[in-house]
Amino acid sequence: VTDALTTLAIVGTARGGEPASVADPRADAVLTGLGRLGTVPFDGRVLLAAGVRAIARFAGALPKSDVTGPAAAEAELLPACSPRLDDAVAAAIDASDAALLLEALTAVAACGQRLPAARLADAGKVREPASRRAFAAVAGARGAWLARVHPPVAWLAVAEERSVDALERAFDEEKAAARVVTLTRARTLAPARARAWLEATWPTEKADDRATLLGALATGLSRDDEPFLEAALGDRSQGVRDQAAALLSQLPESAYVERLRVRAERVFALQGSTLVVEWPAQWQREDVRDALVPNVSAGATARAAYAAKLVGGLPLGDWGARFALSPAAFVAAAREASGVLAGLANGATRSRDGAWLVALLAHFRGLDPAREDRATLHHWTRALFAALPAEHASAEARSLLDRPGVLLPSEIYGCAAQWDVALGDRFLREVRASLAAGTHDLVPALDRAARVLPRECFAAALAPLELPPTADWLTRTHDQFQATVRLRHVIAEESALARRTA
Amino acid sequence: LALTLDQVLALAPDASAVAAGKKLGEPRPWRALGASERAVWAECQGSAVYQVRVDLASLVGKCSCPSRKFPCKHVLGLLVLSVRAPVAAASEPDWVVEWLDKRAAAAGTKDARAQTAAQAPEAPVDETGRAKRAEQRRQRVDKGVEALDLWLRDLIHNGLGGIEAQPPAFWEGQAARLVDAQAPGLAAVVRALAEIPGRGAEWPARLLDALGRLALLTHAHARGDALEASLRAEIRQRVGFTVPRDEVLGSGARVADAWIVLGQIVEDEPRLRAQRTWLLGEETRTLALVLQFAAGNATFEEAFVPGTAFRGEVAFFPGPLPHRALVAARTSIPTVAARIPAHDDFAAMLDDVAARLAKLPFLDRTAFHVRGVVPVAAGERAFLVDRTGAALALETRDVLRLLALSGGHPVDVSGEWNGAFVRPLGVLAEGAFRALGGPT
Repeated sequence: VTDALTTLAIVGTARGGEPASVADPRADAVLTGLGRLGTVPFDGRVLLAAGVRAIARFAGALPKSDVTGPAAAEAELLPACSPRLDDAVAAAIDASDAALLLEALTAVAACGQRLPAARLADAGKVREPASRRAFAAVAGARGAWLARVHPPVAWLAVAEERSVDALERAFDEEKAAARVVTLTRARTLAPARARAWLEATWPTEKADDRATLLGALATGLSRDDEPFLEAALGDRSQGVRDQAAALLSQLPESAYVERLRVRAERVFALQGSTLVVEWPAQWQREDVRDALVPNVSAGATARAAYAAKLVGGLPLGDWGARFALSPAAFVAAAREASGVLAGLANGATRSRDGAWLVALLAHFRGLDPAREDRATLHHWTRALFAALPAEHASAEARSLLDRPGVLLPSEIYGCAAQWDVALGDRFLREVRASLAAGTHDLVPALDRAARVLPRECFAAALAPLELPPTADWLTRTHDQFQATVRLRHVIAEESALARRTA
Repeated sequence: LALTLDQVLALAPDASAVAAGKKLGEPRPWRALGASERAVWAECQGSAVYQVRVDLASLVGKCSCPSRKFPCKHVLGLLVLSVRAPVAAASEPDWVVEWLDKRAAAAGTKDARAQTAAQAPEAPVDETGRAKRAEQRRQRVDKGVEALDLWLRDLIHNGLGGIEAQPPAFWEGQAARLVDAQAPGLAAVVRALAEIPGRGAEWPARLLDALGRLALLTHAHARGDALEASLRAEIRQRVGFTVPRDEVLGSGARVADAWIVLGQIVEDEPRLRAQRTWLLGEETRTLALVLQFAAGNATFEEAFVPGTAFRGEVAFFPGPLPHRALVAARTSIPTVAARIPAHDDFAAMLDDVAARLAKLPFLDRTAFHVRGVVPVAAGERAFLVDRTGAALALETRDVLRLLALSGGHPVDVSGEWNGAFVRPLGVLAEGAFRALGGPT
């Protein structure tokens, strides 16, 4: 509701005229008082009346009396974590370092402690879902209270899992990206019911949304989903068909995988130690429907993609069972078969099968980078390395250090697993040696190394390095490396102390 | 150093300096560590050896490192180290003595200059020339104020409807004319007006309030001869006539007290950072506003740590109410404020505000410390509710921090009040004062 004086100012005195009163005693007193003096034009009197009223409002401001707050937070049951651990949490938040934050928060939880109340004010800076879950888990009674009274941090109420009913409502109401998250969450709780929601809305979804939403079925995937996925193979969108095929290929007993097996029987054969391929004379409608080729007239150019999809869609164990070859021997046999290695690499990275990953890595690493497509080679070595399970990753990284090559730093960078002590020590020695020799090959790997070094290597990692005085970028990388290691060191020390105290 | 870690880290220029300062707050990189009544110092082994010293009275430090941040991470690290564990007393090395002496000499020069300005008769400068220049400026300002008055009246004549569509140049042009007219204070007010249109549902009313207060100022300026000298002096300052620092230190009213730093706000402007620090005298309960300005990354001349107190004298700028001030002398090193005088409820606080406004109607904001209030979030808005149930609207900027620290329990809050909203400056919760209100 706008008061009369403001309305007059909005309209303008040119159009609003000179009213005798603006229904505000203080403003009216100024308007009429100054008007009587006749020294100030009406526009000026309006301004002065507004100024007087503003000061009077400031001086006479009255508090509101109808604000009531919720009940106060309950007493904390857990002790607060140590200031050092709290500092580590704060540093990880400030650095937007999700991995480090997760490590620090997990340590707080493992110690049976909670974050101090003051740290909860940083909840607004925590964005990543896994970090939020971990943050909420150590937010204590104060966090649960904040979740109730301040909607922007409602996510702090971890204990209150959303019911499947609530998820269904959200799925109906949310926008596309949020619906994928909701559907994924629902698949962990009630997979069949969640799939039914998608089936119900399927005809009305846009093609891009259909493909994305279908991807959510990867969570809780089972043969119960097979009929729906089979139907999705007939979708008019290539993206949806590809997604359906990718999901069906993860069900080894599915009819889809069986159809691939039948094709593979026809197409692949072993002659001596070489895998030979007998390409179909022409593509069939069934090949298109199973998302192996884009259309029946695709021609010979689609052969490599066909082979990659065919091989990638079959369980890796099929090859050993059929040809009685080890992964390494089969990779060697297939080295000339167009698309087969790409299919195997896809299957291996998806299933994270250590033996196949190692065999394929050895193959790609053995290729001459000068004669191959470097981008493809880089892609596969990095992808395969990143998929290595923990027990293989350290050994592989060590072997890479024995044979440094052009792809070395990025491969180590891609190593997702924690390193063992031997690899950590070895890496640190190599870094020092390479810096002493004036080379910086391993420097790009420092960032990753800071996160995967085992705690036994922290002391060595924190020892000063001899850096060239002029290399600012090197100093920055090194300082960041040590800062991350130092934080992990604090987290480890405080965790150990808390456990001993407990 | 009798401060808390948070208080020391509040001096840091940014978050990365906080992290670096904490990291250097461990004994390992330090050697030749020592402290006296005046200073703490040490050498830090970084990529070179840096000499680091801090003047304990002002918390101003100096480091031989090449960093352009002030204070640098080494100064912060030394302060953190001093807070975490007592530093053994030692005799000041030459490089510390030299620096402290230089600071004392500079301060002495300033004091002497101020005293001279206050006591000595005016130097026999070119009186005629000075009077002529003053008259020229007066005429220029008067013309600028007249033009501003006309501009303001035109706004009301044509109406404020649609003014939100005006480009920034509409406001900036008028501000530039006031700068040309040597009325920079009024120019700043006009620039601030540009922020109001279109923001929030009640912007026309807020704009009219601000225009009205500006019109009162121009009106008062025009009638300056009829006003009391102190009010005339206040109006001159608000128009843009500066009062030299020496004059304030030399002849401004002085109040000695234990000054508590209630809080501070730093506002970023295009080429400048402006800092408002609110001090509250523990014994006299006098409020003092210290304004400091710094260009780019430069440090503010004096360091104030919210939640600390120091004994000293404050000199006030001329005006009908002790308000804007300079710290004339510090006679103790800052310590954690043990007791902050507080209002028991908002009724008492608002009575105090009204009394201040009665003396200085042009006051646009004031500060307070109130006991036992509960921060409450209510939808999009937030409030502070006192023990009687009275509530004031709260700026929502720091509301999560306030809620987290209070948990719905009563806490003591320092804030800045502009008649509409409380901007929180600090909160005393669980026995510790925490500064609120980061850069805008």
